[in-house]
Amino acid sequence: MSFIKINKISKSYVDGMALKYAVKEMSFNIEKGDFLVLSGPSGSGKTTLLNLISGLDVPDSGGIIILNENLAELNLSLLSDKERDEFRLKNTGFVFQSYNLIPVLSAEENVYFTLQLLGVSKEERKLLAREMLDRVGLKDLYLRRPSQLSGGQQQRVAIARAMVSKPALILADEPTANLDSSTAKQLLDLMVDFNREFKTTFVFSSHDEQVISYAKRVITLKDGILLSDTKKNF
Amino acid sequence: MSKFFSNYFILLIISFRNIFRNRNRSLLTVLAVAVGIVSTSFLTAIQIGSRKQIQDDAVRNMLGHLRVAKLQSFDETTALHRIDKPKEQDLQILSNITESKVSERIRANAVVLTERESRNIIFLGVVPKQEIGVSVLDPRFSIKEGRYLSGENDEGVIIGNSLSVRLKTSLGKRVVLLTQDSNGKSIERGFRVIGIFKTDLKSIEDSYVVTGLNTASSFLKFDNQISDLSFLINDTNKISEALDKLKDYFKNQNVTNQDITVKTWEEMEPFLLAIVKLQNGVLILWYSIVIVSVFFGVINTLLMTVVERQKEFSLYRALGLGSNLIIVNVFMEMFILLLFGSFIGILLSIFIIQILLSGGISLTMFNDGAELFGIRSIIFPYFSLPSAINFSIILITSCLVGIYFPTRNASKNRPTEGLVR
Ligand SMILES: Nc1ncnc2c1ncn2[C@@H]1O[C@H](COP(=O)(O)OP(=O)(O)OP(=O)(O)O)[C@@H](O)[C@H]1O
Ligand SMILES: [Mg+2]
Repeated sequence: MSFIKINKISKSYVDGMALKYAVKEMSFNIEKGDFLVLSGPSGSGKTTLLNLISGLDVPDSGGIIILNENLAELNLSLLSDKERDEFRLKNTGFVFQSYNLIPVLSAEENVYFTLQLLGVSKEERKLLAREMLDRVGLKDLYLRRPSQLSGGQQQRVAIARAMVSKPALILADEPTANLDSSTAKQLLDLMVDFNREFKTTFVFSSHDEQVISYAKRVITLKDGILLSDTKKNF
Repeated sequence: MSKFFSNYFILLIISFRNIFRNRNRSLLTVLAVAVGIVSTSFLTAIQIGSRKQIQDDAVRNMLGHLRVAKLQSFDETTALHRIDKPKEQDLQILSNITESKVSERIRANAVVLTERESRNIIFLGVVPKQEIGVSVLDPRFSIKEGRYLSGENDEGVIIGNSLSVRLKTSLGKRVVLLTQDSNGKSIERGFRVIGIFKTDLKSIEDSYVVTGLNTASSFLKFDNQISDLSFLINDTNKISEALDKLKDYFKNQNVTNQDITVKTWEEMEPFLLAIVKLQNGVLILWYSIVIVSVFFGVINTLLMTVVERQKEFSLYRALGLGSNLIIVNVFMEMFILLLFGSFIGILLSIFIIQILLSGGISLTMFNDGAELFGIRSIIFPYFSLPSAINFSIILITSCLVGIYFPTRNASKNRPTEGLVR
């Protein structure tokens, strides 16, 4: 049973006089517990696709249907802005290519920001946030502001934030772009553990071979079109 | 419920930290608001101060806050227009119901002559003890030479210092008064100058020749009558209340006192009223200028913030924070700054107006012109907290309304548009 059904979605931008498709009539399904990497050259539509799946953006045509916990179908395009915000808050974690953290909040506050919005008590969210920061290797940096962290450290805070609420779906846009390969490995291992433990579905974009080697499934994009879809068997 | 509070709590924290993060911008906003408040408070203070001054002077000019007289008497100061002299107990009643000091007066336009000069003046008969603490004639402050009137039957006159110079007369000399009596017949009589008074308003010194009420009454052939009753209301905020009570009182009186009219000092001195109104006009203009300039200053800094924080807003949206809460966040920040600015502005105003300027502001530069209208050359500005607070509320509200739409648009932008791809 598919967790996310992507049905002929298109997203275009006006480029000068012409209409340019960032994503064109793309269809595929994502299963619960998938560990999926979207790969492809720069400008192939990876970020656009992630934004569409998370409901950050809406397709011009086609639809994205999410099967939620009680097995009801949720058509993202038909939701209001507010409902999509709510959907993201409750069901997804997001790691962006850049600008991930709220500048005035410390590392731990950034991590538990969504927990706070979800109404988790102060002691509990603090505990969860610190535990998560420990796991991404940021022990002792709980109270640093983003401006006092390196790019890689910021990326790790963002990953910790995406995972801390244990959402059903984590979307990450080039999550290892700013990391050295040993840190990247550590985080990927962590995410694999998460994927096993909580059946969290991961969708990445990356052209990093290391990331691709971790993937259960790789979808390759080019010019907004799905080029290939390979499932690996471990 | 707890979720609701924790949402707003985190937003409040973010607002506070953003304020400290953008120190210069915050400082600028606070400063703009504070300067706006101080300048309007200052202008209001001068306005209230000079209005109080005008009011005080009007009273001291022997107008009183309220005057009861025949209608024509307000246009023509002559012995032709008279009212009955109230009995002692009626006077007491009038004083009680209006919570004021009452002075009975007789007045008539007259010409005063010496061997060398003549001037037009107002011949005034007073009950000397009624004037104490009421008018410029208060002997404790005004008598420069000679003595104050001893009683209603005192046959001497007191005149202003300036008038004595103009008439080239002095204490102890005789002056002749030329006027009409209550039948319209021309009369004249000599009076001895027994006292010379001094005030800080030359126009007053020039205008009056004052004697005892009974002396004036017999000279002008009044028959147990006076020209008017003047009221000095103890609490100046209750002038209109007293006005209503007086009107009621005289409405219920018998017909002998027909035609009796009660007027406020403002009605008697339309010129002064015009000045007050002009000041109000200037003030409203100034308020608008301040509101508009602070408004645009604040909007400008806000737009900068919104542009600067577009990515941050998008991030909030991506994390699932609704656009309404983003607006709330920006509003909190602006509200804190505006409130703080108002607070600083009010404190500064109090400091400047009540401490630095407690000695009054000298208007010597404009003195001659101002005195024409009966305004003295020193104004004591008066800080009004209610009007400063009202102004702050107007300012804060208009800024918040003004930033609503730009903020809403920024918060509703597609989250992706703000994020670097
Ligand atoms: N807001 C936009 N306005 C105009 N064109 C856009 C916009 N967003 C994306 N595009 C275009 O759509 C195409 C896909 O962009 P997208 O960001 O999805 O690529 P990507 O695969 O994430 O690239 P990268 O690996 O460099 O991050 C690009 O050609 C891009 O220029
Ligand atoms: Mg991208």
